Amino acid sequence: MIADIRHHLSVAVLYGRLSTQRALEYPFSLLSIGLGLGLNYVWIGVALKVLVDRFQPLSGWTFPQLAFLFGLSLMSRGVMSILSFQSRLIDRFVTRGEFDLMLLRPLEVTFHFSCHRINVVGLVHLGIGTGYFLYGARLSGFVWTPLHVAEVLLVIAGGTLIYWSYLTLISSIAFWTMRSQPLVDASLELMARGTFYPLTVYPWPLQALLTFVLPLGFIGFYPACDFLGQSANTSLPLDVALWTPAVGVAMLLLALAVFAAGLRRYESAGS
Amino acid sequence: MRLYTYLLKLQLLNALAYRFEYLSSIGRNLFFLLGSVFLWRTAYRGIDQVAGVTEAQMVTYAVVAVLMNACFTVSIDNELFAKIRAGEIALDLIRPVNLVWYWMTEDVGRSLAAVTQFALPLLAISLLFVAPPLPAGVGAGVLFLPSCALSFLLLWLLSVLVGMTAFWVTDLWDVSTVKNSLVFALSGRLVPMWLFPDLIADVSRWLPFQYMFQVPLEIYIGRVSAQEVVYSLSVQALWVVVFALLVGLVWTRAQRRVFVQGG
Repeated sequence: MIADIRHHLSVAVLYGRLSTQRALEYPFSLLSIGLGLGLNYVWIGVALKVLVDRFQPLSGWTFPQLAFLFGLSLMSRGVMSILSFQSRLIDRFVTRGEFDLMLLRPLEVTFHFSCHRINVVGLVHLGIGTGYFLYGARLSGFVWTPLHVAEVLLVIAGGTLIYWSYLTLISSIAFWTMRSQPLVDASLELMARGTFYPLTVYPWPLQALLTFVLPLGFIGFYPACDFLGQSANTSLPLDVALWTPAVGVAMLLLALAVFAAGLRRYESAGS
Repeated sequence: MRLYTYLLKLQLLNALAYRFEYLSSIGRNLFFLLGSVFLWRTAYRGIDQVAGVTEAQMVTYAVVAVLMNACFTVSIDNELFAKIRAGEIALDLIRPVNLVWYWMTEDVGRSLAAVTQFALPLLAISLLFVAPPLPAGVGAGVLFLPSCALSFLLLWLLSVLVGMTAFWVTDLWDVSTVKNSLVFALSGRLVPMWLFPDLIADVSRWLPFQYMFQVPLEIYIGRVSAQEVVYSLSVQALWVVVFALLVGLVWTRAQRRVFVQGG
């Protein structure tokens, strides 16, 4: 068992090193994406600050509280992006027959697929997210107890699982339709809208959608409410807080099942 | 001219052929639209107006911004990067046409198709959530159109300029991400620049970005006076001329730089 884990870890590290070296071969590209992403996220923060300063706290959330929520969501997104950027690219793998190689190798395909690329650009999400989170935590009265630190780490892990599972579920549609990239792009937009602001901004049907159907609210909003003592104040009859890891695991099981079912339908490419 | 009309028709038909992309794109724009609308409604809760703009005007601004963005299907920068990198630019260069016009016609075709394909369905769906996003008056609605056309031109010229950098540095593949982020941030598409602190608002006035979205939008919601509309349209036109000259200059030099690998 331990030897097995060690073997898988060594493979993951090797792939990580390879993909990092490959990315560093194109420094301009890396710099452009990093700069573009960084600018986007910094600007969203600035825009939120402007909204709060010129109008009022957004649905009762002050700017530091919004930064806390935004940072928490962004950190999960960053970890997901670093570890498994390719979960959004399944249609490319299907149409180009790139699963062939993975199916031939003596390594579990889901593991192989998930770890064969480390995306260094994800560090931008993670870095900026951490910055927002620390800023928000300092100014919004977050108490740094060992229990809270453990809870934050669990929330980030759960949020990462929710992101990964959601993207894998959507992207896996390609096993049946051959195309899923446009749907993934739409999902990324929904992810941004569903995780960057408090859910209380939206009317109850959208809150319900982002809680029960696509549980993006568990990535940042519900945990942030719990950490900051903010009332979730949703129109929904529930009191949820640190359910993020549980929701993450449930989503993961569903995503793995769908991915495995899709893989059984995989027919490779070419004539 | 017949050639460009044919190209325009081809792009219109092409755009209608991909239903899956179509529905997904509607979904993506709809999420952005709803996100913006509910964000502004929350911000305005209990507040009549900020910087002379009411909630109704701001919601209209947000909806029309999404519709404009859905119509501005400008992808020439990415296409140029792909063509130059793969050497396909050689095929374009042997065509007996003015390539810059050729590329522009393609994107104009896509954008015209997007008006019926994306903007109208999105507008119809948005009516479930918001009041019809009407212009402030007939004059505002009429003047919005040339301003919108100038915005498209400006965005397109900036994109082609960014795409042409690939003639010199093929590694700059992702520089479009920076361009897109700058447009997203400084064009006023998400949050109008007049809400920002004076320093940022003043600096942005000297940059071309706010002329790509904010200017037509503030004309549409009637935030600017007739005199200011004339001024805004003139500055927009001036930016278009500046960018067109730049594109002409860069394109002349770029053609001398072309090298294609392979036999």
